[in-house]
Amino acid sequence: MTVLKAKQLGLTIGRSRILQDVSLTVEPGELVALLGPNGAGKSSLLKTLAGELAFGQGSIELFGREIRQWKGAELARQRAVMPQRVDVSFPFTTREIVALGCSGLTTPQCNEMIDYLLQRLGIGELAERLVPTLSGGEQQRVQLARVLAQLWSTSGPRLLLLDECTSALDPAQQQTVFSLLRELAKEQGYSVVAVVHDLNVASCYADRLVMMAAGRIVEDGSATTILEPGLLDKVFGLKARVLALPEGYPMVIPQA
Amino acid sequence: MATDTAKRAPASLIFMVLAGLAVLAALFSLTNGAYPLGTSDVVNLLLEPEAAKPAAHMVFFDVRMPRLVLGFLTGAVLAVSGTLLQGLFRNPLADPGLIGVSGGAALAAVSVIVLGGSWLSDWTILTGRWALPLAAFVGSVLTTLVAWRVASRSGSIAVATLLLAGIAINAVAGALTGLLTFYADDSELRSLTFWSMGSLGHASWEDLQVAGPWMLLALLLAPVLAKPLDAFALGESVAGHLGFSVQWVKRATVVLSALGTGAAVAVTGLIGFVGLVVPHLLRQIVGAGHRVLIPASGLAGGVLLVAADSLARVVVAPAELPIGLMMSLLGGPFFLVLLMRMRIGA
Repeated sequence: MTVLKAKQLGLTIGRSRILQDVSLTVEPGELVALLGPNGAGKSSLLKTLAGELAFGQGSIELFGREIRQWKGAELARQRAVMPQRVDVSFPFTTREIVALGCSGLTTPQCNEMIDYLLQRLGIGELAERLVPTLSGGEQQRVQLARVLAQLWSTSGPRLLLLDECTSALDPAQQQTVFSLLRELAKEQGYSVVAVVHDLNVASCYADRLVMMAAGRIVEDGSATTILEPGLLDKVFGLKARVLALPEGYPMVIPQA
Repeated sequence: MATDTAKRAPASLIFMVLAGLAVLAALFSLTNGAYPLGTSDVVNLLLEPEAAKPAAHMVFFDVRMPRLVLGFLTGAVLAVSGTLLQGLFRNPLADPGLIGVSGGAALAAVSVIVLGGSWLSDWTILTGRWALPLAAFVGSVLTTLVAWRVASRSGSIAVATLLLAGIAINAVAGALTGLLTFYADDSELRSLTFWSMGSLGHASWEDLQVAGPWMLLALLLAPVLAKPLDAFALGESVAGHLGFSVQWVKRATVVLSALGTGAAVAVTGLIGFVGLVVPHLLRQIVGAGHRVLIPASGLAGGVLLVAADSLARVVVAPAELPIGLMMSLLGGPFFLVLLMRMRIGA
């Protein structure tokens, strides 16, 4: 079953057209990276797919059902969303925040899952700390753990929508996170749609790259077809060389 | 880097301490006043009411007991309403008083007192003995909605705007209440003063019959909102993604806090700071999770108001300070100190 099928989406806020004629399909086990310059509509697309923004034209089907037909609680078991920025307004502990994703689990099961997830994300020692006192990168991983916890006990197809989920992380932490996401996609069949800024991260981990510009999808394909000097220059105005690595994916080197 | 591992007392211990404090506050309240009643008298009155002197019986069952129960319920409901609103607005400054809800409720109640015989006679006839609390309730719901509407921008609440809206609402409500005092005669004026300063002095079983059920309803239903309000701490959209019905949570929170605050204000007048200070303080002790915070706030609010009310009777005996004044006198400076000592902005 196709996890996500968006057809000819159009989104207009006020007078500005944010998205135009956007179509995107995501299959089980696929890790899709959304790329594009600032203001291209990546976050808006993600919010639209999350049901947060009401689209004017087109249709969205999640797990074979029109998005408006889903009940919030039902959808929350199969689809989790990580926004670009989440501010925790009260002194909650990490454990309490991640536990918001626990549903249908007993407290010991939930705690076991939380400890495992925090450890996988390299923040195992932060479980009892107050989230507002954590650094930006730590908070980002706490939110990621919460989002993963939300789908952890679900079986069957699952969809993760992640908006720049590693923007505050150092390269090693970024590697930890994307390795975990890739593992979830390959071994558990998670579908992941992630807005990514780092072209090489996208190249290394994603199955498919989707390049956006000015509210439209410009290209949708493998890293080799998307990460191409001509296209990078056209979309980003980025002058770069692209090397084909022996590992099988290309690497982008911006030119000085 | 500081290691801020949350130091928290276990919930069961907190509840035991609060229950103990509640018993102490109740004893303090029952044994203080013009008529001498000691702890042993209280115990005897409770065990063998028929054996007591008629005067003691009257003072205990018709004066002090309703005052104790009303004080406890009012404190509880104000603190719980404060907790709910703070959770909803994601801000520790939200309070029924600060955002104008109590002011609106008081204005509505004052309107009924002054205009109940003239302009609002239809309302008084229609609602009978419920005229006052119902008006206070309607007033509190309307002001909440106004503050809400003014402060919401494309579905999210702008907190600074909300507080400013509260200031404006309080100013308007205060001005209108002032205007009403021009129309008021002497006896109405006395009731008006009572509203603006807040008092448990006239507590009776009749008051409790009118307001008690609403306060109890608000208190009993509030824990339902614990889980969704935890999610709201991450923002409305995240709460939605976690599967909570955001609109439902907002409406339920507003209705419950307006219900409780409206009923409380209807019989006690304006009592500030309970709804602000209690949840704020408890969050430092029990943490921010609403499952514990809501009932703990309720207990602590009840204890605080009963204790403050007993104190208000003692400090200037045989007269008594209005409890609303007392709370603002104690609560204001206390809150300032708390703000100065706070390390993180939560």
